[in-house]
Amino acid sequence: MNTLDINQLVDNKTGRQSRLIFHEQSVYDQEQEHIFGRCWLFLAHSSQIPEPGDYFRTFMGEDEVLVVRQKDQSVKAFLNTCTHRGNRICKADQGNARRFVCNYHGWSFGPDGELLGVPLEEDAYHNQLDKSKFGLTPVAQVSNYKGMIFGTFDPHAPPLEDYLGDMKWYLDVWLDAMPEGTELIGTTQKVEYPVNWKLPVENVCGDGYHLGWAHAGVMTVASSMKIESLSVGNTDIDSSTAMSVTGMNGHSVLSTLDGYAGYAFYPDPQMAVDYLDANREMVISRLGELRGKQFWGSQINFTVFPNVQMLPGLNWFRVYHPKGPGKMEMWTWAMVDKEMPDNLKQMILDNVCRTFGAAGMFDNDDGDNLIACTTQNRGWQTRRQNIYTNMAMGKEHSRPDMPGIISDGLIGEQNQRFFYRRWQEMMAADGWADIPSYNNLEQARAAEKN
Amino acid sequence: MSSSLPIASPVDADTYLALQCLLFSEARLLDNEQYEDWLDMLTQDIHYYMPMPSRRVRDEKESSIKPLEANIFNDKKQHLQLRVDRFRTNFVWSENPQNHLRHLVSNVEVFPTQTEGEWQVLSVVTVYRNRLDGEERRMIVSRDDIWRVEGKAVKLARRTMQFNHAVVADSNLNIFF
Repeated sequence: MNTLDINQLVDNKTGRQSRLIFHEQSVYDQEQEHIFGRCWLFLAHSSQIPEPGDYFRTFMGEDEVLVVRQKDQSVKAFLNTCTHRGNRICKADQGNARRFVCNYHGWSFGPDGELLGVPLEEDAYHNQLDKSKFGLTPVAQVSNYKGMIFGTFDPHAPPLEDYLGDMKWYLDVWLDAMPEGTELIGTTQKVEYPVNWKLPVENVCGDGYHLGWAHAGVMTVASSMKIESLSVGNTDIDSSTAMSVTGMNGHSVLSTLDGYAGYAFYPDPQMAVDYLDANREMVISRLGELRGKQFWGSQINFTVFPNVQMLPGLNWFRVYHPKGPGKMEMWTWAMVDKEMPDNLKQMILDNVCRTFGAAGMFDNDDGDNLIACTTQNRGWQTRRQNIYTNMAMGKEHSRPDMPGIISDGLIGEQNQRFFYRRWQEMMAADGWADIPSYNNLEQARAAEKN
Repeated sequence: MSSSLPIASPVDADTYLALQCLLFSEARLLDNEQYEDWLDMLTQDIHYYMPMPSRRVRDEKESSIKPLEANIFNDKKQHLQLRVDRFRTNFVWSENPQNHLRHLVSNVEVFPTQTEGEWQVLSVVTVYRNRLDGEERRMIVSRDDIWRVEGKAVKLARRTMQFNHAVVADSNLNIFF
């Protein structure tokens, strides 16, 4: 099995995935080229680099990049590697710099990536070096959607707004609910697991099924509100109170529809509930009745394909950086509305750390499950098995008042199926010209490969 | 904070030994998962704090970026109690079967504070954890404590920790340091 046929590895009609996609180096290498080399990837939030010279060091796939605020307030991003001999030019997580100086031979680069200085340029290079040809390698496109800065290595990728498609209608529930928008707060929380990067994405993008069981311990002690569409033991579920939405170019939403449950896992949610009550009318005037009343304040899981997840309410924002087929690094921040009072922001940051941080009482339940889903594939026999996301197939429907493909309830596998479908479409395509765009059920069916 | 302390520990040997023994006893309780007994060693107003490490350059000029400190723990007693309650539900599957856990306490230094019956105690704890099939983790944490006489006992009133790793290399920290 030296060359793997991508079309055989995932079957959307049965919800099947070959376990090879979580293990094989060749699949992983193709992901780096076809997915991380093409998609719009999250670089930083605007609030993390407010002033000229502010920089943030991050990853696009396994490529390390520097994201830098320019004098004209635009943002550029570069590979974090010297164009001379390839050393890393910046080792700090973030900061402010007038120039980046390589530790190896002292070449220095401006915030715009231009090569500014070369030691002994006259004496050793005899002024023969054309510095204009040795600037830092730029990320092909950088764009900002309501504070979230994304970049893509692919000059042919569609504009960011098209890439996000109808997902923008849902993202605005967080990014555009309040006039001042959002900000990321807190230093980056970095945790490394021996896990394939796709598994935590699928765990959060649509898997409400695991909540009552995998998280039974913390759910027993930490719930301060009841979420109707969840229960331990698969009884007493009201699936009309929540929904899964996908089909939006692989992006997805999992949401309760009560307008409060986002704060169900705060020991004392009153401060947050008061904030929701005080601003509800204004948000309704900005986003309309449906989004203002039913989505804003609800527990929502947003996934932007391939590796960004944002959970308003629990208020965390996360990126999964792949580190090989069997390893990933998870970066987490708290995200809040800029207008929130400082004490509410601090309470949210603490709660993010306490629930989904390194010692987070929810997050600490997921790790071992996802590790074993990855490491069991070391077995030659094991990785030749298939696994399935085939719950409630054929129950997808549409609604006239909201975009996307919808399934009722938090417990389902629709979003995971569309995540792997998108993964397959990206992996099989030769370029963006071959990658379908679909936002609803009809378009998704029309784009389906036979 | 600890960089302003004198070089040598200026307390008498009995005080030093008593506080060092307290740290060893605490380590034993944590290794044995005697979490309720451990909670009894903490004052009601305990602040248990471990910021998330981050890497910034030493000579950075005034930067506009001053993010709030994310943390691994920023707990009062009620939050520590919640973590213990979660563990006691027996629904925390990653702790069953029981993991091997050892706290190795070293580099203990004891200093008097301005307050009678209260000491600042510095230490380093190496936490050895063996989970799953031979999967081992070793984490180094330095601790800056305040221990205080309360009734007949000396209790932990504040613990500020430094997690000495840039990235947390474990899928859960269902433990205390």
